[in-house]
Amino acid sequence: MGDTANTKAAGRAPERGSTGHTAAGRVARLGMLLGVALALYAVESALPSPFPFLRIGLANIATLIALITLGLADALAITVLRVIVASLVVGTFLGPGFGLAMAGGVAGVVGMGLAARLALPPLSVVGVSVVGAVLHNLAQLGVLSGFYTGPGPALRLLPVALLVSAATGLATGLIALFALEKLGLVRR
Amino acid sequence: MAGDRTLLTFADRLVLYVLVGAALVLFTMGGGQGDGATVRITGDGGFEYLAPLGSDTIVEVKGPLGTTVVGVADGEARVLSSPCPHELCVKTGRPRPMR
Repeated sequence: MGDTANTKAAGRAPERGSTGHTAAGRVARLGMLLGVALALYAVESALPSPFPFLRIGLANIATLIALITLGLADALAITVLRVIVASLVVGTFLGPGFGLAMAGGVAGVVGMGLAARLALPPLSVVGVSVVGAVLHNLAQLGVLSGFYTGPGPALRLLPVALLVSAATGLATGLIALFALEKLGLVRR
Repeated sequence: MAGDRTLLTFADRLVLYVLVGAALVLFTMGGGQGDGATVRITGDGGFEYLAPLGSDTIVEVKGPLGTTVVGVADGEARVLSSPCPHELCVKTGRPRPMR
């Protein structure tokens, strides 16, 4: 707000960053998407899950929209803040679940950022989402293997994790694509 | 409407095919199957016992208060008796998955 007031007082248009947003607009969108990510996390937590590790990753929809509209740094900020806030709310902050969620979240968003930068196109938003889901699950298996179970159980879970990644990355990617299209931010 | 548009690009499909293919290959190589889980029981003086959950057994573990008896049956391990005053480990009963 202060920046906007200063630039108006100076008779200049607000400066826009590389993504075309003013600083205030970027912060507003960042906050809104963080709220959406937390709401989606809460909704998913209320859904019954047959296995603890089998999660759709609905919050990734907000991360993916942030990545496409704001960039990697802001998407990473949303992911880190979402994991911290959610863990504080449910009481798992700095516990094993927190470490797994943070490792998976950071790996997923960095993977999506690289895929978006290097291969969008030929990949679409859906393909970027699948890449993120795979790296999310691989990072979690890596932490599980390195700190808790050793390589055996993690390797046995690997094929299941790959199939789950394909399905959940596809689902969240399609939802994010529809949302981005409705918002007029991408065209097929 | 969008009849001529496809949701997934060729590259998207390629990524999905590679993932499913890799998962199937890993499955056929033996991944995704349990090789018979084991329970690791540790005690004083470096005592360590690996008990396969597939076979029933009873393990006695010596500790500072006395001997704790662990039973393995039906693929589960549980404490049958303990010299501790409240026997919380015995009352815990069947193990439940961590959340």
